[in-house]
Amino acid sequence: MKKFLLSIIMVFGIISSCNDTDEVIVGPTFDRSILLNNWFNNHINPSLNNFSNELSQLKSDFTSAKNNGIDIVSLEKLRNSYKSTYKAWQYVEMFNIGKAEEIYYTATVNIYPVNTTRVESNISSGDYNLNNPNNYPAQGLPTIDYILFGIGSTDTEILEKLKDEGKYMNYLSSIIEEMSSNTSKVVTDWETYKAEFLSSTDNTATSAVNMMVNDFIFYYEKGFRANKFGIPAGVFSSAPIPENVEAYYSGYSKDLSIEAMGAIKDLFIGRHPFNGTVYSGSSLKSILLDLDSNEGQNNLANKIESKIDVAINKINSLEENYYNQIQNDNNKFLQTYDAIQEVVVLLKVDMLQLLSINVDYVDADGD
Amino acid sequence: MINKYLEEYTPSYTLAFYRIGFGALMCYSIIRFWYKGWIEELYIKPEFHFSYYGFEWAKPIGEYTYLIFLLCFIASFFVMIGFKYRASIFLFFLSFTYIELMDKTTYLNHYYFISILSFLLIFLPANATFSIDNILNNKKFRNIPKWNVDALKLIITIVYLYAGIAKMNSDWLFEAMPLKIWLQSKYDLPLIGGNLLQMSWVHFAMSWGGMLYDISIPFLLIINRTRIIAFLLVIFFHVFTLILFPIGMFPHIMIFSSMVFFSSDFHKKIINKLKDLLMKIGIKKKSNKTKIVELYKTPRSKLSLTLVTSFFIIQALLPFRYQMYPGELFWHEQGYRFSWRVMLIEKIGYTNFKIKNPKTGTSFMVDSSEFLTPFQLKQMSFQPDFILEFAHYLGKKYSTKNNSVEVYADSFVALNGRPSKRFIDPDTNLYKEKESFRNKTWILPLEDEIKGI
Repeated sequence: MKKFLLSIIMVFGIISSCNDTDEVIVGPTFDRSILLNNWFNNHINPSLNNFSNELSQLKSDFTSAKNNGIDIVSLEKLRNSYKSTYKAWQYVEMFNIGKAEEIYYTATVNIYPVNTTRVESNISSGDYNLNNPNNYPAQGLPTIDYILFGIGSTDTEILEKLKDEGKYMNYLSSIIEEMSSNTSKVVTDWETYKAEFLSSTDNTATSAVNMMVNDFIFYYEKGFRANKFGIPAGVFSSAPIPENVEAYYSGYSKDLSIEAMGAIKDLFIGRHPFNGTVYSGSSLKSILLDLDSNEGQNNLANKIESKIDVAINKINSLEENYYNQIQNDNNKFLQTYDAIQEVVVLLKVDMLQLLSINVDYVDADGD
Repeated sequence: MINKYLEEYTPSYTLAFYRIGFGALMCYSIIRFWYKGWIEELYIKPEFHFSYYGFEWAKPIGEYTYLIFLLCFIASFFVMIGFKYRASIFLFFLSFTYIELMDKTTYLNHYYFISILSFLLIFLPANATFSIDNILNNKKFRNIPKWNVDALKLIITIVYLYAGIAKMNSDWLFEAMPLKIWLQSKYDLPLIGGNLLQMSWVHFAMSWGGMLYDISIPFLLIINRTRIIAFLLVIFFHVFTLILFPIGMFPHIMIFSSMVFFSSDFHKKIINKLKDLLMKIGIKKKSNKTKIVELYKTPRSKLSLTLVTSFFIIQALLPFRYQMYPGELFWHEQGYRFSWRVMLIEKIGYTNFKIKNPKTGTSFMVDSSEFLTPFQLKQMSFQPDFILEFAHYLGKKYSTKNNSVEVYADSFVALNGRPSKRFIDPDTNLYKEKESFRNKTWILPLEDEIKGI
């Protein structure tokens, strides 16, 4: 028996002594607080501010159009600021955390397709509650898309309707107001939530790193992949539904998805989305580069980045308006979807495994 | 020699001690499970349940599922106090096993351990002393056959030994996988999380230590001279796993179970203490009316022995059934369960289903989260039998009377730190494949070998 115990001790001795020499810490030692700081300072905060500024511009363009009487010039101006606002939104949608999650911010700003029946009945009755979840698809950016581009078949028709008793203008006014007030709620809340967020570095389902990574993956899979590509392409239905593309009435779908993919790539590789500088310190990419012992193109970080680039190239080759793309050549659109889908596997399986992110689906025992 | 062994006797205190502790732990387990809302969460809320092959009939029964748990609780309580022991432990075995059969999403080795342990206990006279049955029957037994206690020790030995053997594989010993992944993720643990648990040698030391612990602990417990050290090791090991992993009741059950190896004097002491306590609070009265029988004779002893022996033969062989399947066990998991393979794999999967209409050629992807809970979705995504069962559920759902759809899986899985790989043949119509014990040829190979037993 003594011999047996001795051999156990010896085996331990051998194992520890041959590894003792290089007592490098090999774990996911990335500094989570640096990562969280980067996410807040370089992504969340500037993206929210940018969106909030664009929204103010939209609001002031709208107010002057309303006060001075809308005409083709002010309509065009309004459409431009709407487009910039929608583009700016693409950087914000993925951060469904804190106040945003609590008040269903993303649902109120960007659920599409817009429920036009609901919009029209709200407008004609004038009696509606935007906080009612049934009204989420009757507000936000897709509704502005509809009102500025879709309520008539020509600009003249649209202008006529907009001028008619001011009903449409009033509705526009209240949904822009709703977006502004929700946005300022989110922005204001970050001022206090920030401290809690930045210090929440542990590994639980509710800690900031885990929530952010999960939100990021969820957004990529649902908000980006499924909503912008999969659903209109007919991946989840037996036939394509091209009218479900984002910004169906204005036809800005490609521009918006390029912005969205840019925001995704920026967050992944650690690049400031607006000034373009690759910041120092932790990003998902730099962490995976360290964690994965494979080098070069076999390293997960590089694999993900190059697959993102492949998807970006595919997106770039599409028509401006995805509705037309799906009608003319849905195969090309589906191939783009497939390229986007390949990234999901790497994010959801390989990255989660390497990061050792605890995804506590249910509070149950393991063994 | 066997006959002689069968006639050896040992004091009845040991089994009585085990009965009380087991009953108490089970009572606590069920209360805990109930209190945490898991009955609702795991058995009542989900609209779909994953079944074991051949046990498709075992399903939760809506709100009445609570009654099964209540029944199981009452049975545990009766086992603890030794009231109508045989009937109670039989009822416990049935109700507990039924609960486990309702949905295999929740499969845990230690639930299986409790099921088979309670089955074994049906044959053991754990009510021979210090039980209500003694009062009811007006007799108690001083000694019981030694094999009764040895059977308990044997099942515990099998659990540890097989768990140890299963750890003798190249991933566990030479890659420190999956411990490396799990320990590193515990960086927020006070004192050791940020430094020790991040070091490579710690992962290896714990992998090797865990393997050596498992294969040696039953023997260290059997030998008189090492028993104390062994018991301290048991406590240390299980408390450590308790801190590190969400492992529930398992550490408590194993720490308690290892006490069965102690001498019967120890069990006698504990029971006498319990007696004193009961007398102090006035529940038990000193009575000398109970007739004391020196030796307990097993009724229908041949039948009991045959059943218990067959039980152990099955237990010894079952873990090796995986040999009948080609390919990598950890990957295809055919023959993986019920074999004391504890904490051996870290697997993440991502599996989606495509429904194809063969008449029109059109197809669409399903959002599985509409039908499964996140927990079920997670388990389904990397286990082939789950994938097949769910594919059939979807096939049935989307087929019409005269048009049977085809169901294809788009599935990727990563095992023990390896890059993700396609898991299921995307061209196999799973709705046509039947569940059976035959090899599932539509599982794509891992294309890597994990050496070991």
